[in-house]
Amino acid sequence: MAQSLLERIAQGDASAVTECMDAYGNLVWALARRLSATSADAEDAAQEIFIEIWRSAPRYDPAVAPEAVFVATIARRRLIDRIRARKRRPTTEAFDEEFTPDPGSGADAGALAVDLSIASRALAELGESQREILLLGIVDGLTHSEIALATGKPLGTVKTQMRRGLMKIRDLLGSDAPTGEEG
Amino acid sequence: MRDDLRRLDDLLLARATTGLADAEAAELDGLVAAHPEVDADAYERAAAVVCLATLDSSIGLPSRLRRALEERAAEFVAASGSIRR
Repeated sequence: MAQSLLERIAQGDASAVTECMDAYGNLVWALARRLSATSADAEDAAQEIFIEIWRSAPRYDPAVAPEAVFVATIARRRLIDRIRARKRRPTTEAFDEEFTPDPGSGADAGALAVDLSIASRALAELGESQREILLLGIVDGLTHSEIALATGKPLGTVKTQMRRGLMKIRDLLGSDAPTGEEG
Repeated sequence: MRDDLRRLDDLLLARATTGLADAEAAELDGLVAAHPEVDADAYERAAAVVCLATLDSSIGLPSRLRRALEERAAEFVAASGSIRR
């Protein structure tokens, strides 16, 4: 079985560093655009994220998660840290007119297909309300209070649904619960 | 012990959704160290999978960012003594 890009980076393969950027550039850019306040923030974030990915390559274990999930996990953590540090609300409003997409960088679409299938199945297991709350929080980066405002649901309900939704997806992905707590 | 685990679960969930304050992050580090049996990254992986399922990643990197990343990659390789060029 061929080694993953991250395993190759961890073993000192310089070509894998740029191949990693080619493979996951679109994914990192999509996350950075979604969870950054401005285009300049998103560009800075993308660079920070890739440096973190390359540095973290020795920690990647293909038995735990697909490579794209590892990359997205690092990206989200960095972006959430940036949101908290700058106390900015994420928005995509500042992006549309500034960049010309590079047409040659869509090479990671096929590599993500398996991960997308897993994720879609997991989301389909959730109820509509739970899925909406989860997506507003996880994908759009809204706080619990902002989700409560957007959906008209009580804050406590938002927190509970967010918790249960993410726990359910975690469990579908096969991890053991830390506490044994049930909702 | 069970209170510890419940708190650990709360902090792991918060890290995966809204993020943690510095004091909470330090508290989490201690709890994770005390409970190596817990998969501390599970919630974050679940959140990442949600993003993978829903984000449009068909938009390519802007050319300016690609050039900047190529520079960062070269710097990373140069700074990593164990990397084979």
